[in-house]
Amino acid sequence: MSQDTRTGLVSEIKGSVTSSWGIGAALLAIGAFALPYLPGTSQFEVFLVAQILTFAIAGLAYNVLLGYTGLLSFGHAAFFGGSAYAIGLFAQYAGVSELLVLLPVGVLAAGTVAAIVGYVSVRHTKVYYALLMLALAQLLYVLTVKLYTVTGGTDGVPITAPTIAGVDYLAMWGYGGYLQGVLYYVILLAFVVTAVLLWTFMHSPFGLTLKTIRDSPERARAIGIPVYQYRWYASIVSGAFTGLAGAMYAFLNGHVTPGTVLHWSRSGELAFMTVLGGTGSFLGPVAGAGAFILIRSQAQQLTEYWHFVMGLVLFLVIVFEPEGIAGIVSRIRRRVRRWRKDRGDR
Amino acid sequence: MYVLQQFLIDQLIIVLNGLSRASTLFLLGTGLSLVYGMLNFMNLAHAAFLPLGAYLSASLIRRTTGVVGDSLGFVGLFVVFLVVLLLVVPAIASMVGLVMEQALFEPLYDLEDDYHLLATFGIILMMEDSMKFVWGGQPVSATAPADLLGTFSIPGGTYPWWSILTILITAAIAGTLYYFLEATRLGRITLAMAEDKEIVSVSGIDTRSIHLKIFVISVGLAALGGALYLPGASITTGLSLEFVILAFAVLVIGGLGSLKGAIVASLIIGLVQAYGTYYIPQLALAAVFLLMAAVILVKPTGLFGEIDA
Repeated sequence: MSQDTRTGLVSEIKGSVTSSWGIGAALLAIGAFALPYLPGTSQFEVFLVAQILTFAIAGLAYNVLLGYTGLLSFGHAAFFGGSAYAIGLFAQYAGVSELLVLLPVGVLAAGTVAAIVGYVSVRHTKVYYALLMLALAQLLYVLTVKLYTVTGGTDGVPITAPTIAGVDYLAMWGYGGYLQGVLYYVILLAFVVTAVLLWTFMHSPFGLTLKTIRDSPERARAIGIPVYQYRWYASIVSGAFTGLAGAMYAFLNGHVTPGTVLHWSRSGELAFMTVLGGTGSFLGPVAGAGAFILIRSQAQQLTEYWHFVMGLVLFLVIVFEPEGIAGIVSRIRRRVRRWRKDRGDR
Repeated sequence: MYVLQQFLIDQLIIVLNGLSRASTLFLLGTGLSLVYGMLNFMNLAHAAFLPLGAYLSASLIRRTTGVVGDSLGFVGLFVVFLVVLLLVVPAIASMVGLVMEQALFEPLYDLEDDYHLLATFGIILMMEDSMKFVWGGQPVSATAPADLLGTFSIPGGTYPWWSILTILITAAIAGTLYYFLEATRLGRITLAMAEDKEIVSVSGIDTRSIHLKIFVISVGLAALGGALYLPGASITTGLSLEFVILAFAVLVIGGLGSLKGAIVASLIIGLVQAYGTYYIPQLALAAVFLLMAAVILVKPTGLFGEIDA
């Protein structure tokens, strides 16, 4: 990393911390940490926010490929579910139930799948990339369903609440205490770590190289960037962090089935959240995950046909605001700035 | 001697199963391929028109049986069924497709490729739930047409005539489509548009109306696939999501925008599935995806395709 980028980075961090947005973000962070102890929060809200954070991790990871590298993947369920299944099966066959062991197992499994799948697919772009990812991910799905003697088939795998550093919080505090006092913070921590790491990645020369490749692969190749190699690295990063999200999902739900974590509609959902939030901004997918989970939970309460509602939202977003929530926010910001300027002129 | 005979009979059944599977896949995949070739529009929602056709058939078959079932003889009733399945169902589905094209798909054409996949993913979610709303979440079947035809006996078992009829009808349609593309004006314009849209539009042809016609035809074909599929099987929600992948497999293996490719790819996939189901049931579907991945890797344009995405 050169001196310039580092000072640029520092000043950017300083700038964003002191701005009103930084203050808002800090308030949000404090709120997120205090959430389980705020008056009026029940298990339901904590579970909901934990779910949002889980998918926010996945959305951030997904956007490494979609937003920064320009690859639309319809196969991220393979990483999400691959990790969740690795955890479930490892716990079952090795008899280990320790978060500090299971978490690396899941992330490693997802990273490995991503390395293999990525290696064969990064040679293609656009529709071909999407379809190849789809085929490979669906291969994993079908194998999981069909090899039921090993994987439990469509019944899936139960995931018992793990001990953390040897302490069995579930036995000590019961489910409510475990969820609100431990699991929630594990997920929050995973989210913060993901956000910080990916932000650093994407603003490092690595991330800038990815952007160069996204904007023009030919030009990137011409100035000596090994395009396939960088796309491959991006796939692995994206896959591993998606795996982290899959692991959190597994712990949070306590049970995984091929239909919920490996089916291609899960890949579609990850793409949906990311686009809903906005691929053009780093934190867009976080907003997307939040909006997605909130809309879905409202729609589920309202009607049995909530898929229809989700489909409609996705369609409308793409037709009317392809930049997603981040696009709407920046439009509002522009308008506010213009309004302020007009007022100042007068 | 007996072993050999049994082996041959097994092979016959497997091939017939494969062919009838291939018929469904061809009717589904070829429309997707035509639309992609012409519009560069990758439509995930295309596969949902097959269940739509099947659901429509189920309702219409029951209605017809209720209204005219007793008054007509065997032949009369069967002819009515054929008219319903081959003409009425595709016609209704095409109407639905026509409206949807104007309302939902047309605004998407100018967007980037990636957005096509995402937006049509949204559309397929809406279509799935709409069908669930109308026909319920339980499996639906209507075997009346297949029951009328009955089965023919082969040593050691029977085989439904309906599957044979499906294969024959699909073969006839493939022939018709081939003629349509090669020898009719609309077909040749379609091929020309797959080559170069702009040249076609500057030569004074209303490309928008051609789009619409081809889109409607492709929807009709998918619905017909559903209509022929239903009497031999049952249909339930979630089926469109399964068919999406198979439709893509046809497209990718055969080559984007190629009719010949769609025929060959459906045959390959149908036979792979049939043989797989017989010999290694665990891996039958997995083999299809492996094949799809292998083709993309080795020959990205597909076996017969010329369009490079």
